[in-house]
Amino acid sequence: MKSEHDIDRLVKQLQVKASGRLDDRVHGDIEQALADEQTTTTPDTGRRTMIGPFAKLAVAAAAVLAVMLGLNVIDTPGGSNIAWAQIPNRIANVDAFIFSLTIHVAEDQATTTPESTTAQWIFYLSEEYGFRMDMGGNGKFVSYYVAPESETVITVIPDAKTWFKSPIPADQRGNMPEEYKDPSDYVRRFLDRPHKELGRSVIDGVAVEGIEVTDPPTDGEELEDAVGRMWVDVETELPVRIEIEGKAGVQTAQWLMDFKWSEAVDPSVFDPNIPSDYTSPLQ
Amino acid sequence: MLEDRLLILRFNRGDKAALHRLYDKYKDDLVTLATALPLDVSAAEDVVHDIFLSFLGSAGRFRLTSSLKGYLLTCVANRARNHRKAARRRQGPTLEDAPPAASGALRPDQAAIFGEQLDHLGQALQQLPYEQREVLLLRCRAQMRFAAIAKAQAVSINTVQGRYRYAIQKLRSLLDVEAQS
Repeated sequence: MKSEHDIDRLVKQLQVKASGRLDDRVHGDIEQALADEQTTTTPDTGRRTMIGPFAKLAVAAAAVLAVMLGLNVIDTPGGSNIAWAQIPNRIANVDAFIFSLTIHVAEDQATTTPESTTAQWIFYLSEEYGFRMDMGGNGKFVSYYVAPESETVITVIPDAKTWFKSPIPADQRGNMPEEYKDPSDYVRRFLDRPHKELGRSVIDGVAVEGIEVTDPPTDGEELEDAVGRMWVDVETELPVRIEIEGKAGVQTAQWLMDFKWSEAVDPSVFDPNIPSDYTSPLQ
Repeated sequence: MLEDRLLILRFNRGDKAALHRLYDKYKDDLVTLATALPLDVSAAEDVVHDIFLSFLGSAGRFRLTSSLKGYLLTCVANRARNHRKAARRRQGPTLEDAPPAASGALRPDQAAIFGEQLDHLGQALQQLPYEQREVLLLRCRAQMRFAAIAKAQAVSINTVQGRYRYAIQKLRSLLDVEAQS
């Protein structure tokens, strides 16, 4: 006699494919909704404003960044064993990651008072432990913590030794903060570009293999002569680092994205762990 | 799954293109459930189409509180149930209401799409009372918890567990008879 397990397995095998007609109907409706939206709303500027505020800043940190971004290529291109096209799917199946994005903008040294600035966002996301985001730059950070299904966000400001808890608006609960960027989507768009292989290297002791593209996705930023490099762990075949460099007028912009995936994410990072000498003015 | 949360986030932020991916990801599961409940293929696809139209209209305010797959399959089950009730009101008693012996055979369109290998299972499924079939499919296809199914069907968790147990027993019995004959 068949067991409950056998029945369960059989029911899972039932599979009906959606017809091309249904595909056309649903995709058509989505496209129509997109088209309607574009005629009634202005485009989301979002990240596009990021470089703007830095326009009057200056300094030439290109040399510093060159060191920071520099990688010691230890192998020559050719014969990559990485299944590049599978990387977005691999990312989609992870249950936790840390994604650090650093953007450095520097004015050309030829300007009278060249300056630079650095901004950093670190996103921590875990299906089990929730969400955390650190944002800041130049050594100063504000951290936000949201536990799974929580209706509050905890904000910690180390520089002011303060913290507070505030409610998440009802329509935002269950969602990630809007600043969040989807790595799998970004990586998919990056890999869609024609690329050349860079061979092997080592980043933080991890053996990686790289590719380079000449028009990396920059989410609305207009960079001239932009070059993007993606470095993938040869063992896990997940991205370890993405670097982008380009020019915006008299500015040089450099993006550095670092990734950690699944087991490499320490659950303790999702605990606010507020020091006892921090005060909470709103409580 | 993490990807679903991210897609919902993008969708709520106005990126309806994320809905393309969600549809492609779950369309076959949804059509399979609608067909197995059973609706004819055309009605099954209408149900799935309607669900995505409603979903499209919820951009900016959709809140994912559990599994997205479970949510979508529950939508299919609810709409299929409504569709069935409406059909019964329009047409009076149908084969669905007839004793199991009369409703055991798959309609030709169902037999064709489920294929030879699963034909026996498909026929056996049609002999289950509708509520038992729905519980079994939501449990096995969507890995939904009994509590979630109970909420969707507006019955107690004991009733749902009972329906599942009877469905399994009935299927085991029917499939063994098929195997012996």
